[in-house]
Amino acid sequence: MTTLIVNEEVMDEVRADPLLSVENFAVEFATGHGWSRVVDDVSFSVRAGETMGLVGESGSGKSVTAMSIMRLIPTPPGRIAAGRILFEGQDLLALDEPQMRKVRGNHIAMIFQEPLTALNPAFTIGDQLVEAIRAHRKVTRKQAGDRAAELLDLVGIPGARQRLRDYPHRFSGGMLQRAMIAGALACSPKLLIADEPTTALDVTVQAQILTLLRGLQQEFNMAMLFISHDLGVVADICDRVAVMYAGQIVESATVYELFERPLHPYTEGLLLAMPQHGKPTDRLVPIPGVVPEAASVADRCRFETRCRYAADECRAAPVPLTSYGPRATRCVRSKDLVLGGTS
Amino acid sequence: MPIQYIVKRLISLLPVLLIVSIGIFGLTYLIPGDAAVTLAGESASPERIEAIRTELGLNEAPLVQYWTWLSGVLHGDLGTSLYMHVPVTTELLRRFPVTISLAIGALVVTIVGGLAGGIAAALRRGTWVDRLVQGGASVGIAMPSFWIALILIVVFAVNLGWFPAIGYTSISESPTGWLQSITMPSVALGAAGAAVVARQLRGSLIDVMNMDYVRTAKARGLSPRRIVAKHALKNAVMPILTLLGVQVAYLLGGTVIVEQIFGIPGVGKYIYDSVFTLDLPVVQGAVLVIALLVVLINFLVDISYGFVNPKLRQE
Amino acid sequence: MTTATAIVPGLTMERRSTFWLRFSRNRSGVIAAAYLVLLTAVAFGAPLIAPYDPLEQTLAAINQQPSAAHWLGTDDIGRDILSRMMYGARVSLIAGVASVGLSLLIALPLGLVSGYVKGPLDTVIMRFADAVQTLPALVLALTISAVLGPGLRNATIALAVVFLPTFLRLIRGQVLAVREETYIEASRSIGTPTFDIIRHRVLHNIASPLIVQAAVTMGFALLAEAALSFLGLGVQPPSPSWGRMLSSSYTYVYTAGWQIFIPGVAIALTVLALNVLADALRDSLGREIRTS
Repeated sequence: MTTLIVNEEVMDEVRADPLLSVENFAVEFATGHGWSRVVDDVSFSVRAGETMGLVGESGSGKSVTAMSIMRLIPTPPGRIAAGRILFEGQDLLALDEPQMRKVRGNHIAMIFQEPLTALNPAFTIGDQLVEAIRAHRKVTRKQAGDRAAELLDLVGIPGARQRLRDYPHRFSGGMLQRAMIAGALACSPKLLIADEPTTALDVTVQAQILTLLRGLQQEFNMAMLFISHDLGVVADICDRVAVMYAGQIVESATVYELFERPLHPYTEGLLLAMPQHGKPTDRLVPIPGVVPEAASVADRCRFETRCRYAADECRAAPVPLTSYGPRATRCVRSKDLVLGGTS
Repeated sequence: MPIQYIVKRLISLLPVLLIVSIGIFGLTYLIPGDAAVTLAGESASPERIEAIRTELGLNEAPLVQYWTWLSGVLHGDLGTSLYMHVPVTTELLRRFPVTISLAIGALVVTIVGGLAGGIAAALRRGTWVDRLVQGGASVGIAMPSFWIALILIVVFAVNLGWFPAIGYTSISESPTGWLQSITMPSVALGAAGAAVVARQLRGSLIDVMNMDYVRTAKARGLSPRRIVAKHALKNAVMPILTLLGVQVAYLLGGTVIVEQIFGIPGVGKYIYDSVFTLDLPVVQGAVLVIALLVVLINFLVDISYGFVNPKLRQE
Repeated sequence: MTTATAIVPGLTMERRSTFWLRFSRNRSGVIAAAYLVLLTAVAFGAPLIAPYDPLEQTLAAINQQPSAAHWLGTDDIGRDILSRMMYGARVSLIAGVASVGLSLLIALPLGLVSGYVKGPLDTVIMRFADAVQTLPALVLALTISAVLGPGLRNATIALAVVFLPTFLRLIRGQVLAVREETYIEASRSIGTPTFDIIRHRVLHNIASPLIVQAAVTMGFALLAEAALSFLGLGVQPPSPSWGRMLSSSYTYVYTAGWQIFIPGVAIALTVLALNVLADALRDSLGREIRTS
């Protein structure tokens, strides 16, 4: 038996009103044979000024969740099946399209994985920045142009004013991601959703972008929802993290706690599969198998098919997310297991 | 757009134009038998035959003939009609504006119809609008322009009496009369093009709307109208430009038949009328002018890529 | 299309069977093919099944509306329109098949050589193709067939010339692609004559795109032949052809306007069928064609 220490200070923060709160959220996609639930019973929150990580393999539902907050999943074939997404107390799912447009890019901004294709090749960087500003701010072209130059400068692009006239193909991948970030900051959003923003970049550029994001986030006291498949990157930039598996959150905790002591075998698996600095790399242990179709494991623990601790009780019924103070895990055996962290 | 690029493109046109001119000149040699006899027509006097032989220079060596003809062409002299005895250049200059106004009318039908159909179908993908546009496009492509012309005449001229069945009013004479006389021919000529453009635009718009940058535009809170009109259309229009170049050639070809049906005194009807009398200088002159026009338009299409695609412009 | 798939060397047994499987699932493609087979049967069986002699004039019964005796009515000199449509189908089909066939016959060796030798000969051939394409199809066809003299044969030759550039480019492009591929390098090293390899490979690769292009072009040939006939240059009267029937019905547009719909619908329907067939073939012939 393990005792879980509840840190009262952290509990206070949890109780404070979050900026974004996703509650019992579910998304389904139409398939050849009915609706397939790709995001199921997902709840998490992001507080003002903090960075929340959403981690999982591809197919875990993390990107769908992120896109759903912006209400950008195509419907059909997708549909939001359940839940609420509260942003500053307002349920985004209740907004109509014109109201939602006033949120996008204004209060919540988003950057994506592929900087090379994320900007329109037929328009200059400046044009697209000005457009992003003028989408929500009533300013003249001239004012917007000045602001665009400021933004480019802010994200560390040298010779910003000249570069406004360039087309995207003249920028490198890293530069384009900086330009994307500039566009996202255009209207000083309260929340930035970053969907794998460094995955497509070289490692050195990756580190620069992370540094930039961290700096900007602190400078503007902006909240960030950071989506990644890479726990290493998440450790670098996030305060708290939720791990997603097969459409569900299987564990959430502060980054420190999660790395120190994972409560879910899947998290442990991710940690073991993660290369660490200064350690020999021959001990990387991949998680066997692939993420199963959610429907095929709906009556049990979804990770059971790949879990090395799987027991009969894991197959008996679906596992609910259980809170231990500020932490939560979706493992029936979490109290019996002593899982290894990275310490 | 670097000037060298334009100059280079222009120079590359020369060999093609040279071959076209040889081909058009060579039409004389395609005529079976003695060209002068055939051209003079049945029951022509020996003097007449001899006159034609001299006029076309058929007694001289082919190369000399070609050179004489080409230097005439380069000086704007396309010869004289064998039957009307009017200089071909004069007649072409008179008829050219008529054909151009018809071609522009048809091009408007093609572009407006194509854009409207393509955008509507792409944005309402999978709905009845989409199916209607797609079905209409398939049928439109399969319908001969001259049949569309006949249907228009039967319905709108004969039965409803909205438009004159035939005839042409020049724009300087009466703008409304011109519009009336040009509407049905333009629709007949431009319908197939509209169908082709609509189909192509639907496809490329659907592709473009799935692009990452459209997602970015959505994430920035832009309105659907702005996303389609600005971000999607400019990228989707690239393949359409090539298509329009081809369509213009098609349109110019179609004027032969449409001008004939509607009795419009343009270059197309000029060709049609002289083809049957084998009025060779007219046929050669008119065909050459049309070829030049097609080359010019394709050249302009080429240049316009630079304006749509910044990559081509900056490199 | 049975004959087409049987004679084309590119379609091996297994490709053929997946082709049939895919094609038979394409409903509109099957309907189009059935229509074309039926049309061909009617066209060539016309002497047996046509209710009247297409040239027989009944001046007592001109411009009659459709009736039990004349299902599609009679024309301006009392000929049975249905019979004339049946015979006219022959002209359309012959013009379509013959012009495309002739064009392919010229384009295949020319394109192979052009792509294989590259250099000046290639340049000349391709500039020639460019030159042909500067002329609008109808103007070119009209001029050539007028100069050669009216008639179906000359119209067919004119159309074949019009289609040449398209086929030339398609074949040449395929040759160039094949040249680049590594298996050519491999066979070169064991000393096989490269032109033969290329010819063999190209024919293998190009069968699918060529069949599709041929179907599309045939539709276009049908339209163009009708246009030439309409203008008085294709088949000469009194032989029936759809284009010619349209132009003569035009003369009576005030008294018998409905007549324009019969040949018009036939032309449009046949072209539509060929286009639908081409689409179905493109989808059924699989991967190799989408990449080309």
